[in-house]
Amino acid sequence: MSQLSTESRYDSLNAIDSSINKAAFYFIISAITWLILSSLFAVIGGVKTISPNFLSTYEGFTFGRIQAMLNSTLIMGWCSNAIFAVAFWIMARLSKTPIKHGGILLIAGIIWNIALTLGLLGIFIGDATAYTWMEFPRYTSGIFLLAYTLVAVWGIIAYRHKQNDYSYVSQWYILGGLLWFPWIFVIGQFFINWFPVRGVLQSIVHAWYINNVFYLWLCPIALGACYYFIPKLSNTPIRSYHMSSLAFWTFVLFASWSGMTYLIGAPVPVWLTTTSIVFAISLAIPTLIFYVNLIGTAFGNFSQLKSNLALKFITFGSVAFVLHLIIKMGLSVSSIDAVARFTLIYEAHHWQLIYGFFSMIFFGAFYYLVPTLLNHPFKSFFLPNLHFVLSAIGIVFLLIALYLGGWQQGTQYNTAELSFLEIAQNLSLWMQLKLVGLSILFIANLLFAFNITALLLSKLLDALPSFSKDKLNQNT
Amino acid sequence: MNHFSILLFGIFIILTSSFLGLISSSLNQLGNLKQSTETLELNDAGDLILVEGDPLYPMKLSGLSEQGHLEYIKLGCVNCHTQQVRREELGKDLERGFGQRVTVPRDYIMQANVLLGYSRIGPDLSSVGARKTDLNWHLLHLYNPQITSPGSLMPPFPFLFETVEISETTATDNALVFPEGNPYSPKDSIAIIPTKRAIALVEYLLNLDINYNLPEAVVTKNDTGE
Ligand code: HEC
Repeated sequence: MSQLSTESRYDSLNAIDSSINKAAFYFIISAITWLILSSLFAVIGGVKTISPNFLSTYEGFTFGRIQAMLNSTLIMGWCSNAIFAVAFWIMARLSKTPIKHGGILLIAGIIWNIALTLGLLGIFIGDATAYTWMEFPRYTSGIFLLAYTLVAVWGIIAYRHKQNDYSYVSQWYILGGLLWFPWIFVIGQFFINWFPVRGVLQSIVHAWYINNVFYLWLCPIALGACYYFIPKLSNTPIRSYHMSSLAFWTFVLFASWSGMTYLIGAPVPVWLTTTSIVFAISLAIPTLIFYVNLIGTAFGNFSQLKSNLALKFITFGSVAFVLHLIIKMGLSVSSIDAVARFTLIYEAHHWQLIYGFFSMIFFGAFYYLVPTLLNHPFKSFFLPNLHFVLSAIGIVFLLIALYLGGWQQGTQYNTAELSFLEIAQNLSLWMQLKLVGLSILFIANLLFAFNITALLLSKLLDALPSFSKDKLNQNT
Repeated sequence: MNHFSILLFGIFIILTSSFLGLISSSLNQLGNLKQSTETLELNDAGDLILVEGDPLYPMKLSGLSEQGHLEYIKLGCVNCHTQQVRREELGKDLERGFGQRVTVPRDYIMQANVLLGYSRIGPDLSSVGARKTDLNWHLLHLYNPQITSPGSLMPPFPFLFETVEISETTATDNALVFPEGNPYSPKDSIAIIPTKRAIALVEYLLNLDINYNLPEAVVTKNDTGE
């Protein structure tokens, strides 16, 4: 561990890595904790949709609140903490600047998690808002904002003397995501919770908020990670890299304008949804480039893809993402919308983005980041590989159940002779498959937590003074 | 550096454009909607004006309904129920009798929180008050949906009710009336009493009804009945 490398590049990377250590580990551990909690909520919710009486005597566990806690732990817990862990580290590496004043980040992280904890307690006792994906109670929004302000203050202090060279598209995505998020958050909170607009304007702001949290907060950071890791791990330059800036600008512009597709058929002016449909269809351009840039590159070096764990995760995520965008385009076609609207298909589509894409990318990133930060590689890749297999199977199961179940639900809905009771009962097979998928994911997430914790512990053991190690050896 | 400022500028423009294009413009278009009478009349100057003395729609919720509206949010009903009726070509909402006309923006201006919803595990509730008019049915259904709709996926909300021993001193005149021989009926000596919250929630549900006319949305469907 104390060996000095002669290679200066290695030295400076080490300096960057160790500069971020404390804050990074805090975010990594919090992210994993929230992930486990979220998948627990997901499983409870899954059981409830099969047997509604499960845990139903306790108000705090009623279906709607479990759903609200699930959404909040996913977005504000797992995703946001994972972003904080990975985004700053990639930025520091690409701009070759060590992270100074990591203490501020750490405090920001602690405040953020306090806000979320309060938020979950608030939801449990019934203070959730009526708006999906922003259910955390309004009194926590100020605390989240305070935490994020600290992140911004840190950014300004840490980078004030640095004339950054933003030549990598990864940096664009990550900078964009970090700058967009507070703005999306404030607009959403302002018009819905602080000074509510009237009538369906709330729904319009809400659709805009959800869409931008997904496509201008989660997606850019995950894409930044893809563009960083894929060429690095597959040892191949990005295929058709010159197209990547076109993909960046078209993706963020079209995606941000496509938000009103959530309101197709809703009581809002028709020009709103029509505009968004046009932009949603235009997403074909960046989608095609992502396909060539990301999947093309990853599959270009197949032997590396087969042997590198992190690359497997990240490639899986990229494929899930391209498919997600294709489905997004499809869902904005009105004849498809006439079946899919209000069905499980939308739930599937969100899982595909958050788990199939975002989470898989970040699993890969963590499997690279943690051993690197610790300077301590995995001894065996058996369990991490098992985690990959379980996550992949779990998410595929879940998506098949929800997409097919949702399609059936929509078709039967449009057969007006079938009552809601019958439609709901006909869903039971799919709901059971959904629960199977969620349970596999729960186990996969536990295994993920185990793998990372085991690596941390084995590093700690290694770092113990040698005499105690000898004692341990004698005992065995 | 130049490169960097262009990047920052682009990042700024992207989100601002979608904010202005989608949100600000809708604020302009919808921000001033007011209640209206069912029809309008021409005045001497040739403007369309409200008919004097006619009731204004959408109506304001009563205090009790307002509380029920909050319960609806607290209990997460929005996760399974929508409150919107779509055009004919987009789905069978009208045919299913969710309302006798499509919903329009004005329908929602009196609501503190707009609950359009995103999922239909259960039916749309825009006009449930016109469809299901029985207070006791709603209370039984909330207490345990299996009583009125065996096999339903809707969760029960037993914590909205109190279970009391029947005795001479307890008031049980508003107790739930169970159907004869229902497997979920309590013992004879027990009465199930709705709390204030349950009463408020049902009051809200009974008042959900969009089958009134607005100048821009006239009831077209005849009563489909149930
Ligand atoms: C897990 C999903 C779910 C949740 C949560 C839910 N419901 Fe339902 N609801 C259903 C289903 C499925 C039906 C259709 C079967 C039935 O009548 O129970 C239904 C039916 C209804 C009906 C009858 C509508 C009709 O036209 O027959 C009413 C009223 C209703 N729900 C009110 C509520 C209220 C109020 C809440 C919140 C306290 C709520 N529901 C929460 C799934 C749900």
